[in-house]
Amino acid sequence: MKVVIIGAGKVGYSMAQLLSAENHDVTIIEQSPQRIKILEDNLDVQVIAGSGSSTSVLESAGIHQADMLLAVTQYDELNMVACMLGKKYGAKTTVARVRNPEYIEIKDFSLNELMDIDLIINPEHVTAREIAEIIKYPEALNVNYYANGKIQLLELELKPDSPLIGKEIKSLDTSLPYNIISIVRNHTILVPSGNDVLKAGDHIHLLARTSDMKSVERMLHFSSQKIEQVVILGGGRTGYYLAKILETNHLALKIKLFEKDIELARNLSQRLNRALVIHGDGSDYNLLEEENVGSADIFVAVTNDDKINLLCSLIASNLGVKKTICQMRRTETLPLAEKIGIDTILNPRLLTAGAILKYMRVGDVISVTLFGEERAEMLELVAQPGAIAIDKTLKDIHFPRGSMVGAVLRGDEAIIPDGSFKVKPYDRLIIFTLLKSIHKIEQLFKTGGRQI
Amino acid sequence: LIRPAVLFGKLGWLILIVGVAMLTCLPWSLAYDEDVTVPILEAAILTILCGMLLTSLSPRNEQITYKEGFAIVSLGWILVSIFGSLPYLFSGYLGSFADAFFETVSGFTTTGASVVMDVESWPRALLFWRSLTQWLGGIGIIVLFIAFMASLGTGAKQLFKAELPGPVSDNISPRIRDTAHKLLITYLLLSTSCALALYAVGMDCFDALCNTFATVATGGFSTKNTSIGYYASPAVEWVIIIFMLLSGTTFALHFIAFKKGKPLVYWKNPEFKLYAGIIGAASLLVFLDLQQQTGNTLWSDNLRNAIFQIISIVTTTGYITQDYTLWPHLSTALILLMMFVGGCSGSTSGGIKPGRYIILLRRTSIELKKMLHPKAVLPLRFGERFINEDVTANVAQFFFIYMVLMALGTVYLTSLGLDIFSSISASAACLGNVGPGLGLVGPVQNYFFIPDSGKYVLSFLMLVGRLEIYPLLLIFLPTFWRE
Repeated sequence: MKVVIIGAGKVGYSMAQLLSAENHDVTIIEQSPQRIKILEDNLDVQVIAGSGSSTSVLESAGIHQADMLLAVTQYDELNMVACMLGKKYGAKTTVARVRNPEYIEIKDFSLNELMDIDLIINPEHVTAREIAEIIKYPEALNVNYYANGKIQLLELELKPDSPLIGKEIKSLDTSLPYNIISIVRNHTILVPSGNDVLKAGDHIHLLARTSDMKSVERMLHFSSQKIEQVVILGGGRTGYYLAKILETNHLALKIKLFEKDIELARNLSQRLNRALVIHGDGSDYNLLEEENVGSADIFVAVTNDDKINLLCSLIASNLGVKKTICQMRRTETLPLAEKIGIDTILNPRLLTAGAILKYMRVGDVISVTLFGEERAEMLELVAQPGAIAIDKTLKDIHFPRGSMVGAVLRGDEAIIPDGSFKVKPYDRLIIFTLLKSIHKIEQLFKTGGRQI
Repeated sequence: LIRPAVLFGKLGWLILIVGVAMLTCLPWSLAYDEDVTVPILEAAILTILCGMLLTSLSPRNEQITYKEGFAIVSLGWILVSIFGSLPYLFSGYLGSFADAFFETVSGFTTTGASVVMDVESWPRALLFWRSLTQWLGGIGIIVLFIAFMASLGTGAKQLFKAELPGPVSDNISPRIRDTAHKLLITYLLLSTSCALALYAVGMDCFDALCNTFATVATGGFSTKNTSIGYYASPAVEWVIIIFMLLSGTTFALHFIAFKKGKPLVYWKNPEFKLYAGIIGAASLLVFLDLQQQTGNTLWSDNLRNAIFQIISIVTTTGYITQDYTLWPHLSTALILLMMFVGGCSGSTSGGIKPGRYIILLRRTSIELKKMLHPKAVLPLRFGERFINEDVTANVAQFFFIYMVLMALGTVYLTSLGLDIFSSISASAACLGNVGPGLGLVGPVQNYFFIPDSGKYVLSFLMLVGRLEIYPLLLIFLPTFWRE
């Protein structure tokens, strides 16, 4: 596949890295000579110096043959214009990053239709939505949905007092269907077999029907507590979106939002309805104590500064907050943050990349989630007629190591399959796989695919 | 900067409007062969001549400045009241200047406090003038003036703001002159429908017109000694209830509701909601109170009387159907309380206005919340918009000055020998542009017996109330004129 990326910022760089690792042809358009140097030193991609809104630059980047155009510069308007131009020149799919809330909140029509852009991605909004999902399932460290929301994936931590500890996976209660598709232990991903023994501190990825999930959780003794108060640190775009989503979806929730810039705080207090906006520095221990942050159920740190987020999450956790969610922009330090006791760490770049990837493998792969440090993925793909896997039971298909079919959507029915499940054409499979095996999996399910 | 030539030129136009308006009384005196034709004609000619003399001072299309705007409004209202009293003086029906001035100010400010002992003995032409002053004052002579004057420049905005009551104004048009036109049309339509409705329920042409003037302007001057009670007709009372209610509502809302076909704007407006809520709650309390006093038999009368009297006071009209001083204590107290409410901003009524109460109440709750969360940022929401610190401070200050002026007025009246109860109500009724008060100035009484100095003080309160305090106080500030 041929992909043109405009702008090699954090998201652009990540996408280029991911895609070129998967053997796609990537061309990057970038203006800054420094960024170009970094790209050329580190990635196997073609780099073109210039502006993404210049037609000659787009043409020399091969926009005519491009399967996808990603416009991810820091300028919303440039991204939109580049996508409109790209579409006219023949790019099949266009993706623009647009962050300004005013563009997102247009009520009367969709920006996508107006400008003919296939996907408008807003990293802050994606992050906020993700956090809102986690707040909805406070016991989960991460929440994801597949098959139009019919299948749910939770990342759950095994607390030291969990009755599951020391048990083999095959000995667990299975009166309701579910799948444990992976275990993260000491920051490495294990693909479990029935004989694996669960240990305290394990993070398990639990896949089940969305409608069953609450019961499955109860069956496996994951308690869900009621959330009454959420504290958000940082009134940037992410904080604003999050407060807005929580205001509309959780009517009984008490929301406090800390912002240290007075003008921004005023502005937020007018745009939000119920949330209490407090002007002050979130790292001010006295202020946090005075506002009784310790009694909050969830503390979310989404300022622009990783250090502040980390520090304040620690303070909050120390004050007695039940759960801390922390945004980290730098991926290198993600494992470190988990080690010091922060419950959930989110990286906007990974989330954005995941959302864009959903659009990448158009046709057979529908939805994708990135795990941890980009080492594993959830694929959602359709079994095509005549593919190798058709009419075989799962245990007879030669899956690459570390891959597993977690759930299947047949027609409107969501199924949690076991080894005797037989694949039929047009089944939609939700598959967990390590990054390196994606191609092998794809070959199994597409018409004329070869066993690798 | 205030340029005397420009200032007096524009004032001349205002006086001219009043003079021309006087001429409309003449048909009545001619038709009914009354002895006031000559005095009214004299007053009209004198007023028109003075107006023309002043207008000739100023270059025709001179734009006015911010400060001149204030000066025109404040001096305009005083001058207009002086010239407006000429028909009473010349005809001799009100002999002293204090009486004539008081009656005219009460008319133009749509207060409806009167010194006339027996209105039914007055010639129709003079009664017509008395009601017409209310109608002219209701929408505001200044609004008329803006609607008809071509170029006033940016100062016009100031004129407009200074005269239209209320803390926040809805602009229905980007241009002030256009807004003035639209308000005027709303006012005319409201007046026409009120007059037709009153005529339909049995008033004669003259009474229907005069009562329309006083109702739509929320003024309250009547052509009968017993006010609306004279007609003893529930139909008349219901018509007047409806039109008082409408006239006490923001005119811009009527315009949007009817012109743009959005009747829901009323319920989206927080001030209207409070206004309607206060009227509903107070009427219900008075109704229950009256029921207890009279027993169950008169419930429909009691209901109508309660609603009529509460709306009449809340909208600062001051019409009377019942002597409410004979009502039970709670009801009388509620009547006094309602004098401090007033109708909506941008209507013809006076008083403090529900909009200001909303701002003050929200501010109170914000202050309390701030005690709990000292660093919280709490916006003051008013419908769909936000009120900034400047406006809230202005409203709080308004409330303070309002209360101080009322207290000073009360003390002054007691020094003239009035009892405290009458003094308080007279002061409140004049400052709020209500009209009748309680006690000695109650609904079946009159302001006639108050000494001249008291009448001047009350006239001042009426003007201060009508112009919402600031413009009138401003012209007493020496620095306003010096710089």
